[in-house]
Amino acid sequence: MRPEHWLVLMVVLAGCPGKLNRGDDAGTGGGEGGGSVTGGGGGAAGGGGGGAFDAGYGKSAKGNLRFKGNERLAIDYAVALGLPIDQVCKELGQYDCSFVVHPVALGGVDPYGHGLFEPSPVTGSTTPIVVERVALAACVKRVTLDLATPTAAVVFTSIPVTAGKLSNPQAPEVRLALTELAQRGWLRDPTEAELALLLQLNVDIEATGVAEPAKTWMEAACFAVLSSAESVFY
Amino acid sequence: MSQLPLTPLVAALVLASTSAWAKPPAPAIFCTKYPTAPACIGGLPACTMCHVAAPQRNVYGTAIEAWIVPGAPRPLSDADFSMALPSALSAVEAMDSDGDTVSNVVEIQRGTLPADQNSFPADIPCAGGPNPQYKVCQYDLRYVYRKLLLDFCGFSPTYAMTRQFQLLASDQLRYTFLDQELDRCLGTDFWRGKNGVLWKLAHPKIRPVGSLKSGEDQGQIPLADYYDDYAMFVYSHIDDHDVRSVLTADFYVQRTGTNPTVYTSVPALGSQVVDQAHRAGNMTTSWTLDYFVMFTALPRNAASQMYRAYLGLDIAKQEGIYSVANEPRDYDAKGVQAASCAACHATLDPLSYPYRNYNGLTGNPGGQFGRYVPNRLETLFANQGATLAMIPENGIIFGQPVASLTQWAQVAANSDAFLKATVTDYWKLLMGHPPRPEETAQFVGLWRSLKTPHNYRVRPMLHELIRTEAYGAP
Repeated sequence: MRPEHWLVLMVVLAGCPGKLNRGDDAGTGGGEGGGSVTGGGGGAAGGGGGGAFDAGYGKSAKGNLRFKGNERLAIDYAVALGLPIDQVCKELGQYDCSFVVHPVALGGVDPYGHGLFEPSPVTGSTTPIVVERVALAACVKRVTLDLATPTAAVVFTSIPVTAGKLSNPQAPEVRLALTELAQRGWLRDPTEAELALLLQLNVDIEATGVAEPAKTWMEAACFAVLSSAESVFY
Repeated sequence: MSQLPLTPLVAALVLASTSAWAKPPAPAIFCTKYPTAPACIGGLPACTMCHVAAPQRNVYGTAIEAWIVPGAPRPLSDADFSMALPSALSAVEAMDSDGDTVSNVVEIQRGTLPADQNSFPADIPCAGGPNPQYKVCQYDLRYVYRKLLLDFCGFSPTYAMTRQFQLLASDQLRYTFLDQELDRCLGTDFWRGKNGVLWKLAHPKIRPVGSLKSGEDQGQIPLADYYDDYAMFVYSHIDDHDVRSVLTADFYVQRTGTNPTVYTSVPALGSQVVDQAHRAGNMTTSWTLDYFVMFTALPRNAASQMYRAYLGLDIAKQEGIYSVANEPRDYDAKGVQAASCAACHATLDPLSYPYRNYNGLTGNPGGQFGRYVPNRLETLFANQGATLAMIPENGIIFGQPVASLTQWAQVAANSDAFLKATVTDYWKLLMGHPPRPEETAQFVGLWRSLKTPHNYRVRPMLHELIRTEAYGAP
């Protein structure tokens, strides 16, 4: 299997907040049940997992999660990863994903050309795919830049890598990077359970035999945070 | 095309449909009976309260009908109907017409629809223990801070900003900080710039068509520059301007610069040609006249679009029906006196008459397109029917006679419908949904405060909005 296929497999397994973070992803009151949100746009990338999980947290009477939409999502990804807004995601390396190619799928409008004056009240079937497309592109860009220029790294700073693998997954630098990632994506500190899951992701990726497991892990961890319900909805 | 003979059966059906006619007095009587019902606060309920599409009744309307002078020959006179309706409403109060387990009267009082099984009060209690992130079901300042920046500035606060906010010494300081941040965001191009949030609010009102645009971003068939309409809309919603200007302004608005984008009122614009005495904000711009009036003698489309866009009343959805006696007169011989048409046209046609001299795309492009043309129908539509010229310039809106379109605009802009529509736009934008039954009190308070004490200024209304439980409680 080619490395990028493993990456896709890993991020699919890891990107679902319901699985990654069922015990603690209650920051916005969502994450359970699998996307029956309406109004601002429901069920896009969040929710997954379903089931009757209940950590005893407060339950909102409103359930009024709102999808960020194309502009807010792209801007938040850019800010979170320290990327220029026009570098977050480009199709064919030329056309902006959020503002040119996929704005409508991401909850935007197209008033002048196609008479779409208001965003759809619900997210479309392609919305989760596009959200993940944008999140993954942004994460790949960030990780590539961090590894290429360690002195100017933004998220994955000073992480020792040997022969493509993390030299020491338990090193403080690794934990610091994950904390930085959570603070940028979730605006809060990660819980111990979340850190453990993101570290376990490295073990799982290394076990696949992928060529550069450390790089793949960084991309997957970043993707897991940015594609979570807590990051995509507000 | 061959014409079917009018068989006795068809004739009977026609008569039957007439007997099932929607009654113009019904909404007002309903509101006399239920003055505190949300549907009656600042307006009247849509015909769809009792009808699928008039005259066809929905399940609630059907239940009521059975109690209105049973056995009496139909159609009833308006007087007989008006006399019988209150007791019929009482008779069906305890019933659950739509089968959603909530009685009709409770649905009416809570603002849900007694004929819609999917519309019922959502009384979901808050439950569970404490939440590690937000105070679920209570106003949460940290939640509001993040939401406010996303809604008004377009991005989340950073982790450091969030920490700094939490470290403020008191909630009072946090409230003050939120107010400052809101004012800062309202000045950004994300909010007020070209294609910013306010432009998006205006899209369904202006209904742009790129191929017909003139000026900046010109299309293939440049008819008019609707960016002027966006400028007027944004201007009226920012910097403590009177939001009614969008309908009443006798000036135009020029947009210049970026970051910040500046909107300035000007007495004239090269792209606009209506004389000052006949201007009514976005109701009389070149784009509105060229696109919504276009080639029509009686511009019903323009009037109904203004009614829909700025007053939130969609006649096609049987909203805002204020039937005028002896209307429609059908001056343009469109057949609108047919029973199935008159239910709406008795309201729509008198709304449209004041547009009779506002020209779209008829006549001379250089001298008459998009202008107020005195005696327009007599000069530009002289050969299109003897009764066209009888269309008066005076009309009726909300049952109130007006002598001109500028008066129409004044009545509209001073109405509760305008306040409700303006605040509804923001409510939907910032809450993600129209006002819900459980939010009625907050919503009504907000649109009323836009008039007093906020004196039609949007900025203080938004400061009040972010303090509501509806906005601030996750």
